[in-house]
Amino acid sequence: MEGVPILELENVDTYYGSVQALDDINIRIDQGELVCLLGGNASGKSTVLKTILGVCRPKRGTVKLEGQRIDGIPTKDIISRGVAIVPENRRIFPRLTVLENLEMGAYLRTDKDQIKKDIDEMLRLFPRLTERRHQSGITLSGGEQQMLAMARALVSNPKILLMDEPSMGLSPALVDQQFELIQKVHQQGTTVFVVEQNAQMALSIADRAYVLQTGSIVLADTARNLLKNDMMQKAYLGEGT
Amino acid sequence: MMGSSFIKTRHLKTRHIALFTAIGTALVVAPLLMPDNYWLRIYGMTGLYVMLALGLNVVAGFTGLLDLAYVAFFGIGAYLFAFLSSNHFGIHLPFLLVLPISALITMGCGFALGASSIRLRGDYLAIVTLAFSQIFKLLLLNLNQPINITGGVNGIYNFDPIDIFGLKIMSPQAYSYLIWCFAMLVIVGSFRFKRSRIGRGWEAIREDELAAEVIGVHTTWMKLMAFAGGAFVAGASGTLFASFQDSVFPNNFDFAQLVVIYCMVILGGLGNITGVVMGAILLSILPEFLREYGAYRMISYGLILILLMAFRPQGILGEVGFFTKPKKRPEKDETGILRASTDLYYPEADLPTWTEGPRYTRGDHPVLEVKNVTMNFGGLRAVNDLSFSLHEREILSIIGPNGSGKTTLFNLISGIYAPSTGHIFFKGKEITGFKPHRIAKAGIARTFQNLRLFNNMSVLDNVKVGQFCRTKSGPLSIHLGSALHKKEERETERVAKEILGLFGTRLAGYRYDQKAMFLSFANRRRLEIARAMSTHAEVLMLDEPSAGMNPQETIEMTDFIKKLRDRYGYTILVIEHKLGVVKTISNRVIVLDYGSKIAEGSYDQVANHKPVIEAYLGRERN
Amino acid sequence: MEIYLQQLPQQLVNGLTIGGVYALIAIGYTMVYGILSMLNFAHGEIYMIGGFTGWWVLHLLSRQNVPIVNAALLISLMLILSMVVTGILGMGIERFAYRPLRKSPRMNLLLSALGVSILLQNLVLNYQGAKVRFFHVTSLIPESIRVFQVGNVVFSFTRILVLMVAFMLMVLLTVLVKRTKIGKAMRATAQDPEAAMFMGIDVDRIVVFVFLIGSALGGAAGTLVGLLFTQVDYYVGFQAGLKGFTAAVLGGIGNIFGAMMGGILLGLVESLATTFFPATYKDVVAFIILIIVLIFRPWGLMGEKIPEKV
Repeated sequence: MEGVPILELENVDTYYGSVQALDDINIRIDQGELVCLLGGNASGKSTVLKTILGVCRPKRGTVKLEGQRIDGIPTKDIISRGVAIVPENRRIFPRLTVLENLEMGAYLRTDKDQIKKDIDEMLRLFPRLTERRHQSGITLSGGEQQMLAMARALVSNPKILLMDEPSMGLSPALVDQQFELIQKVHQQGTTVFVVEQNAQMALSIADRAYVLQTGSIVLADTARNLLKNDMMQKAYLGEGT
Repeated sequence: MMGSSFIKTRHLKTRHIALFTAIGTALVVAPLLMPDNYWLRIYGMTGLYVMLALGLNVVAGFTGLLDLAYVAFFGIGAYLFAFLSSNHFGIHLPFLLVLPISALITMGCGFALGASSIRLRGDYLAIVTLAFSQIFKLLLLNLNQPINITGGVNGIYNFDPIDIFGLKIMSPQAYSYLIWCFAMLVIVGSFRFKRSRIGRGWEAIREDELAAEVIGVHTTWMKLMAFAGGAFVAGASGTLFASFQDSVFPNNFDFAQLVVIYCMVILGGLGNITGVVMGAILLSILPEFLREYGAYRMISYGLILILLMAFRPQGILGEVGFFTKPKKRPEKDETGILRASTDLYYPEADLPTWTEGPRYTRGDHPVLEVKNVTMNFGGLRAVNDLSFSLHEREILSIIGPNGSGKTTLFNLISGIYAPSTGHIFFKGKEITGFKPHRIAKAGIARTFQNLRLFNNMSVLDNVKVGQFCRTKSGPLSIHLGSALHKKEERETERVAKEILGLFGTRLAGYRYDQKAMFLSFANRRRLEIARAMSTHAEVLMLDEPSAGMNPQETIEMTDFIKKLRDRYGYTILVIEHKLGVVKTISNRVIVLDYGSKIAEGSYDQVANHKPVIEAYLGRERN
Repeated sequence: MEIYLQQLPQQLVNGLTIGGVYALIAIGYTMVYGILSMLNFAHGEIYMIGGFTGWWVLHLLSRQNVPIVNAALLISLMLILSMVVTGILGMGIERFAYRPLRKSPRMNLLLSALGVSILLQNLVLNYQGAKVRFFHVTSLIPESIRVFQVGNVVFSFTRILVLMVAFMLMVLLTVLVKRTKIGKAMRATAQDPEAAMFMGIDVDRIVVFVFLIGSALGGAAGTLVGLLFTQVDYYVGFQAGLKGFTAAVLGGIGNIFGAMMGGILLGLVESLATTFFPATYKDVVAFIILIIVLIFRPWGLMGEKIPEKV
């Protein structure tokens, strides 16, 4: 892919106190790609996201958004530069309405008229949300909450959309729905970075993926190749298999 | 020969003897040194403040309960003396009867108020106790009509003179001796309680109430005892105070007075007995020297609270105390060579060896049975109709992707939640719905995924708390230093050191007195296991024991867990994500997904089972 | 029974009026609790300082207890200035006494709040003594409208004024919280601070804003009570604080509309209680309600039970 990558992590080491959580992480995401970060429990996936968002600061290495360094700057500044996230378990605001949730997604934007247009656009994209636009978040079904979380992240017109374990806490049927949603959003042109445990699901919609095991990247390839790779099972289930 | 071993077993050191003599002399001589009656009264009041501060130290310092009604107990003790030893109601009981009666009644009030602490935490408890103290003051001011009970704003005065076995106590000097005698009793009692199972239990509650409950401390009862203990001391102090001042007024027991006592405790450091005593002395005497600034007293107290909390919450004295053991950090061993503290090893032979642990021969009967257990949180089903058995001396590992219900299962077995449906049996007896401390006492102990150590307590104390449910010294036994208490303390220390010895020298020697929060991550995991073992459990539940450990530490932990089963006969339930560890240690493995059991068997059977691989990696997309 | 029924409308009005004031105080507690999960012990003293500020403005703009400016202007100035002063005070307290302790154990925070409360109370005590300060309300309001009668209910103008201002402020707050961007950001932060942060919301600034608004409302309440009962002294914060807190807990701590309801309800209950019990025990009503609610239904009338996650 040409040009400056949207997001790039170079030689990143992250520590929690004296315990090393990430070791020499190198990830690159180009415009329009859907890239996944896979790994089992305690592989360090959430630490990667925390490092990108500025919640953790890397001890070594850099994090760049469109070529500009973002490691070390406060989270809200990173977000204002065009990073949006659908957090783990979606975390919609339970007692705000659908519309209000979307307004919060657009919090940092100042162009009032355009915001309104974009919110209407979102509602058109997700018709079920339109019906419920004055209902509070907690009254929505699981599937509707997924949509709302996604729309809320998209309404800020981000340069890159981060997703933190989208399958977490969902029944198998909803997991299918969730990944269809991500695929749909990607097809509209959004650059997406998905951190996920469920490798099968993720690889079925991704362009490329990295596999993380105890803080290091052990595999990096196109999704198609990884699906066929025997090493995947080993990376997840360990030496015994 | 006899003499030296006698002294050795009594742990008397010259340092201590010198200190006792000094204090004794000071107490005898001090009243004689006071320039006039005014200073004698200050001296007497200081003694009372020492008692009050130490009483509050039990509730707020040891146990961490923000009791804002404490000063009301002081008032209850005082007014009881006024009722029982004066012309007010015409009751004239002798002092030696009134003192214990009033202390006991006040203690009863402490129990009653403490009952409100059972369900309330932190802020709420503070407000409720504050409300009670307001009601108390209101009653004092208003219960003088239609019948004059409390004397209203004018209080009650002119009490009976008191005597102790015929010895009249009238002059300020005599009162000073009397008050400081009691103060010494409270000081000695405080030290004794701090070094007892009850003191450790209280401090554990302050540090982490849930962990304390799970490790066997009967938290409800202990909190009640803390309130009652503080109230007892406050009540006794109140009685002495009333007699000393020969009057009682509502103003003596108002919010300002409470603030003073709190400042004394906080200045000295919550839980630090020496500090609290010094804080009490300081804040009793200092205002006298700063009398011209008297108007600013309360402002200073406000500032003291704010500044101390922001900059030095552990109190001015912090960790220093007279009776705490000096922390040795030997940098040199016998060879005289300087060593880094991390590789300073005592020869392993010097460590106490631990020979206990459950003694079972390997059998097949199930020790723990989980039958059709389901757990619903609102609309979310965390555990779904789960059944399995755990057999003697078996290591059963529970694995599964994130959110599959593993920790919830542990929480169900250890009693933190009661299952929505289903039953749990331990050694044939039903334990479903038991509170955690009963489950610990029955013989199941656990560690936590995110570590819940008692951070401000020493390594040794953390382990000693585990034996709370196996010892039984009560408050009286502890205060009097009975043979039972001493024996239990020796045993507790011995067992704690032996268990720690299992981890080599990492948690031994100078580490015994180190606060848990200063340990390395791996050592903290080890400490939690040691604490669980200290409950004399037969079944250990280890929640991610090797999480956060590097490969070498992981191998060590793996070997250790195997040793627990093979050499010491433990039955163990393990949650682990490192599947290499699971393969090495497990007799059997259970796989959970979405709260249901999807596989059970040996590791090899389970790891190659398609549903298991799908649970981790995901199903193939349709 | 006749007598009681006759008194009812009067007591209702009284109850609503004082209830409105309690609501204003309660809102301050509940907003701070909703966003920081802490009880701002010092809020009562903020209310007290609001009352003193109001008195001071009145005193400043009067000669020989007669106002030298238009009464309506004077009352407006009293309210505005007391809100400004207390708003700034609240922000200062947050910045210097509470923010440094955000990551400390809860007990430390509570003790610091206690310290602030004592400090404020005694600063005022030192500065102006224990003297009670009087609001010479009678000179503010022309004789003709001071008191009027509807049916057999007697209204005092001041009472109606206080009632109206209190409710107006509550309406304004509702609009702020429900319609403005920052109001919604406040609610979002209270519901999920981390998710709010992911929206780019500056949580620290929101906290400051919460203290500003909550304290300003408390300050307004102080001035309103000064007008209502014509006096203020250094000790009023303590009592008012406990009552405001009771109202907040009654309605469900953390819930702004709950605080409003709780305040009004408390005011009504207290008012009705005075028809049956001697006035000195009026204050006990609030305490008893508090204790009952905390022991049997700590999440209040409109709150939600939140289980502890292990």
